[in-house]
Amino acid sequence: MKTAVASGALGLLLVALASMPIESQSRSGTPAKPTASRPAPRLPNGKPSMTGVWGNTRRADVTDKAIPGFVKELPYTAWGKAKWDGYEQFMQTNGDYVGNCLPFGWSRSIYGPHPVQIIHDNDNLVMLFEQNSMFHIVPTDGRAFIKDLPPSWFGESVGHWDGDTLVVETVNLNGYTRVDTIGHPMSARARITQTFKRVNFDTIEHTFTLNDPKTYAAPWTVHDTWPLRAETKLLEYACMENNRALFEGRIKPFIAPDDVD
Amino acid sequence: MTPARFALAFALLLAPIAALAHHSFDAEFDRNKPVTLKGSVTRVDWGNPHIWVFMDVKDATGKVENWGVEGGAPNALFRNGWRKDSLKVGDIVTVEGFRGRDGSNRANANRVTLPDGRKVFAGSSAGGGQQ
Repeated sequence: MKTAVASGALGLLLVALASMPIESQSRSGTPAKPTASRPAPRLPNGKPSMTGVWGNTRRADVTDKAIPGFVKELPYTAWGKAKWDGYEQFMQTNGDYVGNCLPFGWSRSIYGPHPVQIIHDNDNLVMLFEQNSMFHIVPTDGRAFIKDLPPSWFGESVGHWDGDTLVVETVNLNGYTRVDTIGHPMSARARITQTFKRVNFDTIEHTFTLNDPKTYAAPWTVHDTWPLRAETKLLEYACMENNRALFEGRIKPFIAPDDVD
Repeated sequence: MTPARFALAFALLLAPIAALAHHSFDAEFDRNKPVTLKGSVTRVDWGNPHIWVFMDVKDATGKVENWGVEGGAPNALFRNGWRKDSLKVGDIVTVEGFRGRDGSNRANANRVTLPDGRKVFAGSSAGGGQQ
């Protein structure tokens, strides 16, 4: 699995080439007007607005060297390495949570093959994920974590501003999600830090940092550049409507791991 | 489909399938069991998280069996120009992919090729395919 996915460089390029021209054209087929020189739009409070449909970076493997911004090396702990080495077997006994149409969680949502939409005002940033038709709300008004919420797939997120960069912190994860499609592990002790910087009208620079001392000996960071996809409309994604892999038993019903805390 | 759009779709079809995957390939399929199937389309189920194409395939003894092959995510296929009726009942197709782990007549579809050479509806959950 690992080597096969890691070999995806050419294909990812081809996918990008395949999808970009279509999405950069208007319905009439004429190229969209270049807008790179336009500044980032602003919220009423003066901060940059992240609102828009974004061409988030597809990363089936965060260590894939073909995709700029990748992680050079994942510093596994012994627990983390065991989880990584045992993932294929784990799926045969405990099922694949994504194949069960359960939530992808933060990283597999933003690194999936489907676009994301952000709706942003003074107080909240709302992420709408086409994949599984899911959403996640990030209060950005400076509030603290509630802390005693039950652990969840996306966790609890809060945001604050560092100048014009929005910093989003996430804790209280259930530990069931994987970092990426290939299955890099994470635990319930993970803390995710993301930054969103809208450098111009058409571009967000995004970082994803995972601090998970149970799984990795040191934090690591992925760097992304998201282009605006003004012509793209998010489509419905009813995950269970045709999930034959689960219906017919090739993917096992998910059993949550009990060693991720 | 215009030639330009066909070229784009062709490029998509050549992609390692992890780029389009919904679930992990290894959860469902066995990369040690490659399979090539040629037969007549009997049904196309266009739905999330993957489309499924069913086809009658004749084995070496002449016996006909119905196979189901998993294709890509419909939203991604739609954005690349494919529609629910792009592949029709009765079309003769050749599918290259990998069998399911359970040994049933199910496979992923790394490539689906029409008799005229056009390739349609790839992009399933394979973790790297044959590229």
